[in-house]
Amino acid sequence: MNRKVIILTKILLKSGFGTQEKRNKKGKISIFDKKAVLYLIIALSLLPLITSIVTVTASIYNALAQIGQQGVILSLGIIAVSFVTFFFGIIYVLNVFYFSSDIERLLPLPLKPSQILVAKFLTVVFYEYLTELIMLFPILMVYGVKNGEGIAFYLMSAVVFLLVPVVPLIMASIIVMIIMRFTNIGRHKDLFKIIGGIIGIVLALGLNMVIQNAVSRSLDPKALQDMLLSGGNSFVGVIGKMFPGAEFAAKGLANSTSINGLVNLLVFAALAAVGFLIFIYLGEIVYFKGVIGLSEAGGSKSADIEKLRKRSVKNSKLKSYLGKEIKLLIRTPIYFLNCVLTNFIWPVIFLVMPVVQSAGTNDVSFDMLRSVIANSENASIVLASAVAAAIFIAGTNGITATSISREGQQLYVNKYLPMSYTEQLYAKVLCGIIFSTIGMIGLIVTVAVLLKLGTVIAILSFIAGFIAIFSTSLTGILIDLYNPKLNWDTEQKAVKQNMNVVVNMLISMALAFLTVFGITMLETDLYTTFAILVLVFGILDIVLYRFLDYKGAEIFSRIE
Amino acid sequence: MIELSNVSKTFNGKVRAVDNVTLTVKDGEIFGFLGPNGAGKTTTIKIITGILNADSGSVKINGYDIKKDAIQAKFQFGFVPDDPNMFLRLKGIEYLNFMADIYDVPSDVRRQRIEVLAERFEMTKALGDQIQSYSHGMRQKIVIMGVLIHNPSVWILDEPMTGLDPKSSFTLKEMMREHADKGNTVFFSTHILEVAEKICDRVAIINKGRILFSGNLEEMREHFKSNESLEKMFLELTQNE
Repeated sequence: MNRKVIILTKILLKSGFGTQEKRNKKGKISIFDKKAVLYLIIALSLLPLITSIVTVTASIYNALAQIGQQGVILSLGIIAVSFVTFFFGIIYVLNVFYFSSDIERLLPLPLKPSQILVAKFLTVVFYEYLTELIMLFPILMVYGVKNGEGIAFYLMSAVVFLLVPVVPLIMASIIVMIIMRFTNIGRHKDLFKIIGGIIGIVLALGLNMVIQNAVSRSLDPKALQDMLLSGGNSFVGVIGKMFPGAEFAAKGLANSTSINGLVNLLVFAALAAVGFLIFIYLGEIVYFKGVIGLSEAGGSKSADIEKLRKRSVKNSKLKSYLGKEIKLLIRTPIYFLNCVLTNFIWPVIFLVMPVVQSAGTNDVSFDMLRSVIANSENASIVLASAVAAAIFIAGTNGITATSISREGQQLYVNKYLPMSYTEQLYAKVLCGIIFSTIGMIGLIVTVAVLLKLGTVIAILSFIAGFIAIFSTSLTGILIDLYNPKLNWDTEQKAVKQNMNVVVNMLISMALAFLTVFGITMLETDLYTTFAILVLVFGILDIVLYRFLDYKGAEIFSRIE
Repeated sequence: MIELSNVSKTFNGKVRAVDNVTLTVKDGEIFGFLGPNGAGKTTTIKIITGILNADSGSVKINGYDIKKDAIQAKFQFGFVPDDPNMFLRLKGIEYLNFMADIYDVPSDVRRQRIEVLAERFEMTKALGDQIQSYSHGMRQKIVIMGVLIHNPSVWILDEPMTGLDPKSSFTLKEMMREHADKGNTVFFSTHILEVAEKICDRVAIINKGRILFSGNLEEMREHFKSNESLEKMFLELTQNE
């Protein structure tokens, strides 16, 4: 392969992971990089997923081995990975091929479109290997060990592992390249990133549900055989046809010791190679045309005077500033995914998904939970838990805990505007309170619908929760005021790699815990509990508010 | 009117970025603040506008102290920073309305100003788009429009011509002249001597945080002849562009 392509790939990978050697002041590479810790945490958090994949694979193997059909596991695994690769591929390709900021630096270089394209393609393939490492690797290993395979199987597995993402990715790339060439939707970069992020989350949650389901079903081998070999097979068959080659790869692996197996593997490899050539050929024609001018303005939809007039209405400073905060939060993809979407994701993860899963099974835990909630003796605890959940939501979204940090290098703009710092801080707190409150309403409604929460408790929860949200929103902004993270080059660093979010999250968790714990200890009735919660959080709000009022502007003016 | 008296600012306890600066910019004049890169121009401007706190000395804008009477002082001026990359995800029109709200501009007044300014800077078409889709020059223009929309009596501009196309640059200079002629104050920084020579009534030259010269253009030329070090800087400033 072309030397330039390799150099370019290396650079793209490095800058993508942000792992250029970070040297500390003494010029030494620090071993305990924050990044390393971050990757370790990610790896650890994936362990449960990997474990369940291993368990499911093992039980499916056992079920299928009884009827000598264990090879189906391989096609299932490869097809599943191809499917996931394809979907992630569309998002990756959009981001890496079109939306990444390096493209403007690459275009002026004397490189052929195909060189840039291949380098970017390889970068994405590399990302996909990480997905495969979680999904396909365990399946291959479990199969290999259980089936007592020899060295030939593992060698072939390695080849399959390396080649599996190629065809789905080529398909994703071609689809994206054609869309980007012939439409101008590329101008809505931010919207794409937001949608991509949401799809990613939905896909991850969906995958998790599918696996959980499989785990519960895998207890019954007969049901599993039926599902895989009869009805379910048609679904697998359809997806299998979507990815030409997947079947060959599986057949090759299943017959790793025979010539037949080798032939199948070669066909698989040849298909990937042909696909790659088509990709390069097509890319040479359409890629640059889609990329060039992507970041241009070019009065797309010219605003007419009438519209501009209608929009120009005077608002109060506070409202206008708040509007600015909300717009930036919603329109910046990273902020939207981290700060806005998280408000709504908790009820989905902890309530909607488990309830949907348990529906139609013998699982009675939710019926029990419903009766616990319905029991008036527990009303106080239910109220305290709802308030604790509201605190948790407000504490985890990180809106106020990053409200100064998000300003970054542009913080100075706030300094010359003729609006008092205190008032600006209020607007920032208000922004956090608004989103947290919407999140809390979502939670209460979900609980009311799924777990039959009574109207009275729901209303009391709303009022007490609303008052409690003020507290965590205020602690958030105070933490960020004292130690804002302003030196960032990508927005990601302002919200994702910001310790202030973690600190406020811990504070809110402690508050949530204390709330439930305290009320449990007190054993008061519902209305007394409500009064206590309102009083305690009301006082806390006033103290924090007074402190912000008294000190906030001074601290803000000292940030330079 | 802008009055600086004995303003000093030290960074990290060592670097004297601004060293005992005293300056008065009078009503009705365009005042050029000249100096090479890193001379202390931007730091001085940041102190005037309340972005940085001076270690000592005071700044008054139309008589309002930027520290003691901050909000009133900030209402007096409009500021164009050297980096126009701000509020990139707001649409042009949203930015203008935001600025108008912050500076208490009534609805009918702002409508009329937006129309006139958009026309004059040829930005009407772009106002419905997000600022991040603008070119550097367009971003510069929208920031300038954000200042002009509240029609402040004092203009403070940090390297305002950078990135502007010749026509917009000309328009801006024209507007600066008109503004000063109405008895208002225009204070701007530049590292290009030629620009200063063309439009300024008075200039100050700053280097290494100290004011080396302050006066009108005639005096400046005289001064260059008699002062060797200034002459060297003059050369630097002319060679820069």
